[in-house]
Amino acid sequence: MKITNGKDFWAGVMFIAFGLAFMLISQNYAMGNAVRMGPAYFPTVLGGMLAVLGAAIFFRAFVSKVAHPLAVFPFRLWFVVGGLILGVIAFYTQPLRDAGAMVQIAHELLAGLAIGLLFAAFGPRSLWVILFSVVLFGYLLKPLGLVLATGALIFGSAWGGHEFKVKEVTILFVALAIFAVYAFVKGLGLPMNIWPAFLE
Amino acid sequence: MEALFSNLGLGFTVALSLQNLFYCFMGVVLGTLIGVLPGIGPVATIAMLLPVTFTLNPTSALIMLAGIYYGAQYGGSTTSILINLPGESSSVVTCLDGYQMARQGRAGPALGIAAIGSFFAGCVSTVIIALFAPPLAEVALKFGPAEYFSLMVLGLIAATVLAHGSLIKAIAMVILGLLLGLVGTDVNSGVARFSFGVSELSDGIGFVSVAMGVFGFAEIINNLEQKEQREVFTKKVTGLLPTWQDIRDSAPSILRGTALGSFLGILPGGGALLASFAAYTLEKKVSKNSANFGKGAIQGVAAPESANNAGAQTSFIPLLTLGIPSNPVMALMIGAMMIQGIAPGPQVMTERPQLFWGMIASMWIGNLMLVILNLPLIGMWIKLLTVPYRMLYPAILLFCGVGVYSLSNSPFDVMQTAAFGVVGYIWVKLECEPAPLILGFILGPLMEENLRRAMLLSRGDATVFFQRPISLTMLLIAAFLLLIVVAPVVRKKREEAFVEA
Amino acid sequence: MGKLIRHQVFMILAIGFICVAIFPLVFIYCTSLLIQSAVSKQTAAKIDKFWDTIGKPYDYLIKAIE
Repeated sequence: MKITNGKDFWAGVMFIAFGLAFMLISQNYAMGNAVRMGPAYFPTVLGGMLAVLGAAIFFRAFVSKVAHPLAVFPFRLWFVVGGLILGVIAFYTQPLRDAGAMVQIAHELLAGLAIGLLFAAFGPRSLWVILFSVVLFGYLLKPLGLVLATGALIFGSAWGGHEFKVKEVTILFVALAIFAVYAFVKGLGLPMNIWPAFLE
Repeated sequence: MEALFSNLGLGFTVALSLQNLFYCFMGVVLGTLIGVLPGIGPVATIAMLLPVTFTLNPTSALIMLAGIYYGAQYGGSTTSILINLPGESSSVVTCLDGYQMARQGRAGPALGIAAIGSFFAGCVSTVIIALFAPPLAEVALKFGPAEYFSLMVLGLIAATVLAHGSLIKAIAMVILGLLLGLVGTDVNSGVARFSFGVSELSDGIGFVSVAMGVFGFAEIINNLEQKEQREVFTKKVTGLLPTWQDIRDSAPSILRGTALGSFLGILPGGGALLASFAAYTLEKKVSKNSANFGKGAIQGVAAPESANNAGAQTSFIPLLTLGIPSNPVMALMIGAMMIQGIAPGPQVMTERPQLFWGMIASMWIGNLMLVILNLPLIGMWIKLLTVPYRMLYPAILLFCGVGVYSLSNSPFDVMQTAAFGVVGYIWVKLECEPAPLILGFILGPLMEENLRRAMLLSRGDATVFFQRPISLTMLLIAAFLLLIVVAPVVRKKREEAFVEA
Repeated sequence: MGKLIRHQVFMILAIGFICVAIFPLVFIYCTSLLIQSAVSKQTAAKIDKFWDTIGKPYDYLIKAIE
């Protein structure tokens, strides 16, 4: 059997996976009956429907008239595996964080690496560089302040694009940093610190 | 009738306050801006501004957000005509004839008629909202949970039917959206569902995260993947005003576009996008000039541009009267209302008349502002088109990042958004439409709630949805829509219409 | 300088005129189109000429602006 439509193939797989996942996890909650629906009722029904539709899409991939290659986007399986393993480790070692500041930082780096790997598994370089910069931005806002976090975001995301001219990006960064400080902190009054926490 | 006048009077008093005029202006300027800029649309912008609306009062917030949506319909035509690149998804059809007109040196009249048609449609559809919303809300007040459930089913099915791409995948996306919406604490039982012990998830996945990630981030990544060369007609655009003959030729198209757009906007799943496509197709069939369509027929610009404005504004009707979003933008509006603590539904009109009528009056004011922004001031927007994308997207990312973070000062939210950016990218690659998912996401918890109540009231009798007349009608319409789409005849027409774009 | 101001004023007048006039215009014109398809050829031609004459001042205004 030939897989004609790569996109439908993976879409089908994805829907089946989600449908089954939701159904399985719902087993942990009470089902109830039709009159008094428990927390598991609606998700189970929906999960089932999703899995069925997913299967339909999956099988359609073999008979479809529209042809798409199987490799829809660059997918690096090892990254997903690695990211998941690290993520699980990070999750279960959470209680260790109270051991001290160094351990905390190490744990954060581990979690960051896990997330980075998971992101990088799925697309072109621009995808994970840019989105990882965004994540970085979020986590750096409090410790490093708005200006530095913005710098990380602008330089990181620009690097993820096609052309990276240092002078141009620097000017963009300065302009945006000034704009951000005045529009967000002074103008809208959003509670964020402009400079690193330990300097204020 | 006098009730209408007194309501409109109230509306104008609210809309003409200095604060609301300011926010209306901000909204329409922002809307035109993002409409002109390809790669960012009203969904991403409204999602970005949701956190900001928290600090505003509800009327001003909604006025501004609404201005962004219908303002974008004005701005989108500018890039379509001048660069053959739609600035906004509903302006795709305008490229077909608009760009051809530009190549023939008639960019000015094209832009002019687009603005005039949009203005006409904006004003007329505002009147339509004022006329039809109150009676509709009255009907809606009689709705029970069974009716609401069936209405939501109808809305979701209509959204998938009227979306492009594979129907079955769209339905699957809706269901996935419903499921994702269920993540969080179940109100009835207090059980935290699907949260994997992560405390930030016990409140559910943030709607803003999903919307911004899927529509904002994923779109940016996608844009970066396609590097295109486009021939630009941004040289001096003279002769902005269409000739008398142009106006005569376009008048019927404007009227048809407005009528069709107003109607389609009300349908769940409808809005500016559907309206513009449908109007173009209709116009091509009906117009005397149909031979010239695709080669620079002014009717091909006038009809869709009027339709998209009419559709954008009338799509507020289901939101303001029934509390049901008819497209992703309206879903975001619901989000904004919920941030303000307003439960959307027919009671909004009676409990908060200033909000309702103030919004309607401000739509009219907004359209006036827009015609001024888009006719004489159009040179400003054209200059903007010369900014290269690589400077633009880091700025967009920054605004999104700050926006999401400020919702609850949580970096987790930012990461969630980025994660949805990844997922959104995957979905785009797999040709799974994100729009139905967002609608399902918003409606998920609501549907479950109504299903539960309906079943409780009927003591487990599932036929209650078919026994109550309004509910039955809605389900029948939904089934009918499904049948239509599956029927081979309509299938081909649908593919044709979308292939053209 | 005088020419620039004159240009702006005319522009604003023209746009203002269009914005107000477009409403009756579209409705009345479309109705007249319907009428045209229902009456004799000569009357239809007369209606056409009527619209042509109405439009002349508008076209003149536009030319004056450019």
